[in-house]
Amino acid sequence: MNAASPVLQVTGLSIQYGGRRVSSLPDLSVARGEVVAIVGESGSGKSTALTAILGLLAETSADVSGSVSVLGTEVVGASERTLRSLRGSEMALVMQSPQASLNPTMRLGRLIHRALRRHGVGKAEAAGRISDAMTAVRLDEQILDRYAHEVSGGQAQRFAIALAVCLGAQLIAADEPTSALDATVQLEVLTLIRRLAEERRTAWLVVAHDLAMVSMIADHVIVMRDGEVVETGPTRAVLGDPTHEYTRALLDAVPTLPAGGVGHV
Amino acid sequence: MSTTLPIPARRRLRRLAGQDLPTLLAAVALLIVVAAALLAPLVAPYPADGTTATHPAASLLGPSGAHWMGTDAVGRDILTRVMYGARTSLFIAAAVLVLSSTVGVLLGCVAGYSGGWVSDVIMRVTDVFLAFPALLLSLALAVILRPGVGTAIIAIAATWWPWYARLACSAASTIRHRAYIDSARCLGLPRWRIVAEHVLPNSLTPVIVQLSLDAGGVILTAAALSYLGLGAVEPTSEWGLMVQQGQSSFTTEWWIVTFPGLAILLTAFSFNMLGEGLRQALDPRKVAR
Repeated sequence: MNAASPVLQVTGLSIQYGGRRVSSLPDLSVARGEVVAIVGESGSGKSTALTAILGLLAETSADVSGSVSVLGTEVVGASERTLRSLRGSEMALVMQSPQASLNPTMRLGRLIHRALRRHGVGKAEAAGRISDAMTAVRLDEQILDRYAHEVSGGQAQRFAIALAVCLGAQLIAADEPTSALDATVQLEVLTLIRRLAEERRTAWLVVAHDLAMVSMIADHVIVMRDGEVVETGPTRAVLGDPTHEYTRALLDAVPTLPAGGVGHV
Repeated sequence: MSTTLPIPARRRLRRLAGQDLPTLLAAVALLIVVAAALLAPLVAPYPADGTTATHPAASLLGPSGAHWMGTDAVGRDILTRVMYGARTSLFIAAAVLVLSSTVGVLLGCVAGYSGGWVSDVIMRVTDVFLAFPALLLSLALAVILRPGVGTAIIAIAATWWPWYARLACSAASTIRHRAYIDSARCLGLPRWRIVAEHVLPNSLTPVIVQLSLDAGGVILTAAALSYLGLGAVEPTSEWGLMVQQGQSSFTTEWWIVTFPGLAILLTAFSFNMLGEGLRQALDPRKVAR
């Protein structure tokens, strides 16, 4: 796998429930160090697309067709074993509600340690990787002694990112990673996502409805509506000069977009 | 087990101890029963009477300073045998509950987490067991096997695990849709690990409540089996057996049935009170104050 080939390549992905198409992504690729955002209102099929990319729809009634390739491994129709080998070490998920996404009966330290051990990482190396990941997300290692409900939302979200980072995930999918957080904490998490993309060359696929957030972190934007892609392109082009009326409507719905906000932090 | 309780549950438990008088009394009563059982060889007035000793000369004595609860037909001290009986009853209750909750919770969690045909198979088998009246099934099993404490444990556990399977299944089937289960799957954890470390510990709260509610029922059932001659046998001290031995002379030697009977009543009642208190304390719908 050479450095130029994308981490994630989606081709002709279509998700149907009982013959009704709820989401389709004809073409999407995410390269190393790139942040791609899928935006749209709720019900636009953006989260469904994300769950399909992670192979989470495999055991449901959803009918998934097309191709999703993560570092050259096909996800659509893959066995549970293949999916397990991809998850964590190749791709990871960061969820909307950070505390709800962490087991309430397990201390965070045990959670991250168990996950590493399961991926064949030795005890000594695990400790090193954990402290490295905690530094990367700027979290004090003291929180490892706590339970999920004993840390703040921002800390829990950064911990969830640390979990993905320490497992070595090269593609991190994030489903509305900041919408459950306070405004100031949102900014911290967005900065972190951007920084990890640049410093660690992590590929990010972020689902969001907040265009201000997207304008801050994403290189590319895909606008979805009713399960279809209506517009796609570099963030600056799509949000600066939208060609589709729906994108314009979404932009108009943003209360204030700071001057010069389109672009990177 | 308390280490696996979610923290809010622990906080609720701590509050329970300070507020709820009936539950507190039940807990104290149970503590006494447990202490009596554990310390029986040390504090019982005639430890040998708990097992094989007989004193024909001292038979059928009424309650007195020497025998607070009187003696039975072969001259054994009733107080001693009630204390030793607590050992038998609590042992049976503990064994039955450990056995049936382990089997039930494991099967229930697997069924609830997996769904689909796995769930169908496990839960239909459970339904078959639930279709028989519990005591009847226990009786049938006890008749097939040889009477004894071990038989009583197996016979009762066989009818008790389906309830735990159901409870755990319904808890697990809600938990499998929680975000942290999806996130565990996205960490690439194998299925059994997700069940063991993520589904099971979070399904335990209702199970713990059910355990304390069931302890009384198990003790009653064990006493019933022994009473019918299908459970514990002589010379084991067992409350149900003692009631059975004393019932023919109930009008004259009332103490033989009364004290073990009271022990059954007190213990079963206390377990139910404690369970009820726990249920209310751990009920997530109750607003924390």
